[in-house]
Amino acid sequence: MNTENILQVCNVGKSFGVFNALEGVNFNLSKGEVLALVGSNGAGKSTLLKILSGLLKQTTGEIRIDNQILNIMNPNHRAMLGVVPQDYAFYHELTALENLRFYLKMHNSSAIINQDRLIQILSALNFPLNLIHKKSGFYSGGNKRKLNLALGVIHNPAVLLLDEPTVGIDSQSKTDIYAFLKSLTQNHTSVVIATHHMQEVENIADTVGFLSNGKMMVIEKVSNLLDKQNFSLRIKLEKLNVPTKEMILKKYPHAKVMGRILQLDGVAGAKNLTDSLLFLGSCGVDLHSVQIMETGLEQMYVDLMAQKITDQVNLK
Amino acid sequence: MSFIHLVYKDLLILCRDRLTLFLLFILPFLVVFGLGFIVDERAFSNRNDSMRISVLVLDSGLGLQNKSWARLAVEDFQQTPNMLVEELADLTEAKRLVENHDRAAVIVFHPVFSEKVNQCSFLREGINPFHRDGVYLERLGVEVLRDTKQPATAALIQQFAQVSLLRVVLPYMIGRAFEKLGDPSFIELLGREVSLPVPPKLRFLVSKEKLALGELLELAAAGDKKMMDEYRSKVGNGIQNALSGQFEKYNLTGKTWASLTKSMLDNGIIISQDESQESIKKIDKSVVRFQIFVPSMTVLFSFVFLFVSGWNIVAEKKQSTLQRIFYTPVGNWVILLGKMFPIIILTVLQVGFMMLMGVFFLGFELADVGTSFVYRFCFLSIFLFCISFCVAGISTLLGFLVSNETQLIFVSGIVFLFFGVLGGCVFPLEIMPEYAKSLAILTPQGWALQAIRELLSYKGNSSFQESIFFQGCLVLLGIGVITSLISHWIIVKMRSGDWIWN
Repeated sequence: MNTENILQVCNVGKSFGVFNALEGVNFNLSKGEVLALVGSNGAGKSTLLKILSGLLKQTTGEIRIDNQILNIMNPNHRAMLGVVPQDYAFYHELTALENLRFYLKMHNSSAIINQDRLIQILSALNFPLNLIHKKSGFYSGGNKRKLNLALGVIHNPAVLLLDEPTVGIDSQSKTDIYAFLKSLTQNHTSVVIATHHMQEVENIADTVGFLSNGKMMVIEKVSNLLDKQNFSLRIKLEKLNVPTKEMILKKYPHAKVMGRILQLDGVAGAKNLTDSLLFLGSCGVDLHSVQIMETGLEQMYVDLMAQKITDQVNLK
Repeated sequence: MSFIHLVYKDLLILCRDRLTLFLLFILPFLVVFGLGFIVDERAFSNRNDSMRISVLVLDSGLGLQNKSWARLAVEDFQQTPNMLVEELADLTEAKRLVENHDRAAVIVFHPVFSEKVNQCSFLREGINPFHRDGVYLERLGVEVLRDTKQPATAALIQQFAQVSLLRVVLPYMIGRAFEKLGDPSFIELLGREVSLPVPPKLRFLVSKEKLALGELLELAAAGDKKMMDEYRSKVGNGIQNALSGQFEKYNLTGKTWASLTKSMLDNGIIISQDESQESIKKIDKSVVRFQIFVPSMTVLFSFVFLFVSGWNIVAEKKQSTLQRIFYTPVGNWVILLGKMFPIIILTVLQVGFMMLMGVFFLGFELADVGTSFVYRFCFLSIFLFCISFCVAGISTLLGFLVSNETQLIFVSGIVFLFFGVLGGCVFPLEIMPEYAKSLAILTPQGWALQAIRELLSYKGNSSFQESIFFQGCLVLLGIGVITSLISHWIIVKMRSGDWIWN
């Protein structure tokens, strides 16, 4: 990932009358970085994407692309943005190749169409090449999503904006799309993706922003969040004598002991998890089996949102 | 280049939708051909094109020629061109037909009809059946059973009955009045009213300065009553003969419309009512129908593209394909013209196609706008461009303005149908009220119809007024320009994020 910022969002807000759809959103996106916008329906993800793509004008704040204030009427700025709407934004009466050719010509009318390159993009998405001459309206949901994505990157944009690109498709197609996005980021394309799926965030995002009621509640590196996640340990012991039990309870007063089963909840972070296992080893217990349960980003998101709401209520 | 790709893409999509292509081109052809076939009298040489008049005769009285007046009235109905008279059996059937909406109206001659007509007279004691627009049907014992669901046709039949009865009753009253001129009672009246001075040298015969005509006749008859009646009769005949001589071309005592309207030329040849009707029949009704139908249908169908283009833009907005085009560096005018040009092409093809249909199948030709083919082709091209540019402009604007297909159907429907009616594409403006005619100038269809009527001529009637033609074309062009400018403004607003549309 290149640390140079390609997109800077400063204090962006959007109001519809008295309703604030977005409020004080800030983030930077560096080259090759993937930012996932997570939030419930109506949180402001799509509004933010529309503002970034120029479809909506922000009420407050400033957006910079490649260190220039984003002016959507500037053809150069348009060329730097690639947008993949949630809808299948292509002509169903045209084939995949015809759609790609058309939008490539729209981006660059003097471009010489290189069919091999178009096929290369589709191949990178694992798109079935026997369908490229068939009307796109007849494609499966997964292939439609792949074509939708291909149309967004046909002109090599610096920033790719994706609105729920894997909604309603099979896991194989999702894997293909994730792999394709990874390959894009390796070529320094930055990606902003609006999604509901934490698995998607864990798979492809470098940074995640949790949106709620139009506010960016948390924006954090995914790796940092994963480091902070809690674990639960459920350990079945061969045998547990009283002194050992007392040692464990002394160290972990909240540990639950049910016969030969020991459960430790709320082990924060991977380091503490390792420490806990090492401690049990040092106590001389014989482990029969160990079950590690992650709270995961999903639970962290729910917990964070709950915490933020509680904080706001307390502040008031 | 982007413009060409935009146009090519839209045309390609349309060509792949064969059903839409069929509907756009073949359907208007079928409608024109079908309607043309129906109105062409050659197509159904033995068909009956008449209007049906249903009558019920309950009158058995005596009128003229040993016939009841109702029978004479029915004969008059039958002699009216393009009327098919149907006689019903009884009142129950007549009421049933009207109640079931099988007949718009039935004219019933009640039993008192002959008696009432016989009483019609200009004399004080006679019935005066007339009012401004015809006759009082109820005064004559005539009833029109009307279906309230078919008021227009019923009104037409009632009007027909009134005018026809005017033709029956008026000649009878004139004839009777003329006969009255010979009546002894009239001569007696005349004798009292007309008095002449007695010359002084004849005053030795009567000791009066003035003498009434009656007294003169009495004097001539020397008091003989029989002789006096004879002299009165002679005066009466004399008056009648004098009037006949004065109006020698007309039979004022005929008592029927046929004999009253029978006139004689100076050379003695008699022209009958039937012969003059024949000249009316010679007016080919299809001429009138085609002159109205071909231009109006051509204009009406050209505005079908409001739906096609509007729907296309709404679909592009909903499907986000337009959004995707907006993300490209293509200019706003290129996008607008790229959306308009396919519609211009299609409208030109459709209107041109319809006009060619008119020329090849329905006897139309381009008006005499110039001698050379090129000159005529230029005028045709000007019209085709103006109407197609106007249609494309309106349809594109509607497509950008509305949010969904339902809104589009309503708005386009109003422009297509309401403006079409107002502009004279459905009902000829000639039959519309004056204020409605003036409203036609508010519609593009009205102007288009004005221009195309000048451009097309029918069966040699090739008068062409350039000013009227160009006036229509310029207005169409103006509408196209204004709507295009508004559409462009909307596109700019949409692309800059000032117009919330998705």
